[in-house]
Formats: sequence, structure tokens, C-alpha cells
Amino acid sequence: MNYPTEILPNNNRKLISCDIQSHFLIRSTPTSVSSDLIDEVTGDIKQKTICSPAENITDLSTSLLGVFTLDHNKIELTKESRVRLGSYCAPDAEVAVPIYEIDFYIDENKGFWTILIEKVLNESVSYTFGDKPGVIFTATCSIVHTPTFWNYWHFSIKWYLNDYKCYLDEIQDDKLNKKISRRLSGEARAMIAKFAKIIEPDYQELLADCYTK
Amino acid sequence: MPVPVNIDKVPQENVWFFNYNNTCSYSTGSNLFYINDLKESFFNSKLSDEFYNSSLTNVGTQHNETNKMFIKLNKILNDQYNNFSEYYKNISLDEIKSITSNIISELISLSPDAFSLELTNEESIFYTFKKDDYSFYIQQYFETEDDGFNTTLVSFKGDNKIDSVNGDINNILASIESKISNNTSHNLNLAFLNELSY
Repeated sequence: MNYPTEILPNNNRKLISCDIQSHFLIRSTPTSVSSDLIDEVTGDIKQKTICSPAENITDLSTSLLGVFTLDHNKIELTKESRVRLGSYCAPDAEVAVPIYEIDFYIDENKGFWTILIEKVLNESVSYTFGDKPGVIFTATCSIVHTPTFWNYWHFSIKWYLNDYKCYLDEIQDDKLNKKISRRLSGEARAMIAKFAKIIEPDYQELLADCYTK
Repeated sequence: MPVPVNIDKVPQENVWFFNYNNTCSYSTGSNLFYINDLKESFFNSKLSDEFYNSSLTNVGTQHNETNKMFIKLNKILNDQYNNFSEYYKNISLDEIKSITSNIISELISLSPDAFSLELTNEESIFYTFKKDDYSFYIQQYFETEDDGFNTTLVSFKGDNKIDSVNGDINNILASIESKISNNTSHNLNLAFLNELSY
């Protein structure tokens, strides 16, 4: 099986900077069985569907739906290639085409959830620290284009800390990072639970001008 | 998958409202129920003795559904704890129940249209509470920080976010109750105005 090269970085590509609010992000799930993905009581997707326990809710990997399709979502990297191909790279990096059954395989059992970007992009939240009356930090949800060696269309849902002028994962002070993470986690979980769907949305491809040099 | 709950209740017809330290009222039962082959106490917590000794007001049998919901959620918590045990080295299931049981009771007493809970990998529990147009998402951490923080709440009305707040779980519950009661009061006022218009 040949790897779909349309989802790889190449020297004709650039970082996407045009408006993507009307587009969707997609994230894979280990199963496509809807009763395992959706809480039947609330109708929302389950927290374990949003991300696996080992992953970080405040920096979530997704792909931009369009050129990257539901079929591409079934690609699974092998254990051996996961670190190498999952690393970030430049959008115009020269990358080797992944090889079937050595670097990747197709997992037909995988499912997905999607979310309309405008539902979460620039969502702003302000929180307090109880032991520092009057001190408020404000965080804004960002959708950051973060190409990887296996997927040019990789995007991260991250939180920009307006007061610290950096993303949450750039805060070096572990104690402060934990404090902020614990407050933002619920926000991230709530937004996705509220707006994510497990049905294929009516989506469009991004205009080529947005991603070609 | 839904968790089937087969309740064989020990003969006991009544459920109770509690006034605990005059701060909150809880709709719950302090009785023992048999869930399948498990014997569960409604309050598996340090608070339970105080509840047992509290002044009780018998309000009849109309809250059996509430009790069933509590028991079902308790069963879900047991199952999830077993599945997540590798992330919960520092806290036992009994300790989690001690922290959450009165919160669950309080939320159930607000008569949600839909209510669920899920343990996370962050030593926290994520509650989803829906009533009328409102959706409340609550993440309660089992460890309280030095500044008193242990919970975040994100509130929506329809698809519109109302606000996000953080703090102590008891303040968060008060915030939810306030929003719901304001809505009820607003609806009553509208109904009253409608009456007047005829």
C-alpha cells in the first residue's frame, strides 16, 4: 500500500495562516463503536474519547479535515516509527515517504471525532489564583499548525497565556504550570464535550493558496 | 455501555432530606442497598456518621428514582476506578467516594435532565450536568490546593458559554444552584406576565 503523499510536507508547502474558522478538526479514537464513544445519558462524547489517559488535554493533536480525509485518519504509525515520524517539522521539509507495515499500517477499527474550529478558536477564559487575590490569568484557545513528518495537516489545540505571553507548555516553572494546567483542563474538556461530534461533517478543502508557496 | 442496575432493596420505604450543619440540603438515602451482589452504602464517607446522626425529615417514597440514580453512578465510579487504577496510586476508591458522594447527592437533588460522571487520568472527576437549556461541566480534583482550589465549572446556555469559574467545590455548587434558580424564577415571572396579559 502506498502512503498518501498529499498529506506529507513538501518543498512547495508553507505554514497555513489563512482563516480556517469554518473548517473542521478531526481526531482519531481507538474504536468506532458509537456506544463506546458517546455517553448515552448526556449525548456528549466521553472524556476517554476526547483523549486517552496518557495524553495531555491542554495540548491536543488533531488534523485539519479537507485534503486530510477520514481514510487518512485510519493511518496508524508503528511503534518503531512513532517518535521519528510524529516529531514536528517545517511545512516544506523534505521527508521520506513512510513505508507500509514498517512505518505505518491501516487500522480499520479506528473512529474519530470532529469539531468546528470556530466553536473553540480564540475562546478566552480568565481564572484566579485563590491565594493571590486580584491576580487573574487569561488564556486563549489557539489552533496551531504544527506539521509533523507523517502529516502536514497536523494541528494542535493549545492554550496561549496572555499574561505570560507564551503557550502553556512553554511555562518552565513546574508548580505554576501545574496550577494553570489544572484550571484549563476543565475548560478544554468542556469545550470539546460540548461541541465535538462523531459524525462526518459537511466539509470543504482549504484553498490551495493557503498552503502552497 | 449502560450499566444495568438491579436493585433489590432491603425493606425500607423512605428516603431522606438532610440538613447538614445548616449549609446545604441533600436528597439521598443512608440505607443499605443490594446492587446485584454488591452491598453498598449510600454514604461511604467520613461524613456518613454525622449524616446518620443528623436530624432527618421523612419525605416519603417519591425519591426512589433519585436513589437509583445515585446507586447507578456509584456503580459506574467503581467500574471506572478499576479501569483507571494505574492512575490512582495515591488515592483509594473509598477516599474518592468520601470526597464525591455528597457532591453527587447534591447535584442529583437539583433534578438534572441528564447527569453523568467520569474519572480522568488527572486524579479528578468530570461531571456533566444538564437541565433545561443549561449544560454544566465540572471538573473536581481530589487534591485541594493550598489556595483552596479544587474545581472548575464551565457553564453553557444552549450553545452559548455563560462563564467559567474556579474555586472550591461548594462555591461551584452554589453557582450552579444560583443559575438554575434564576432561570426558574425568570420562567415563573414570564408565566406571571403571561397570566396578566390575558
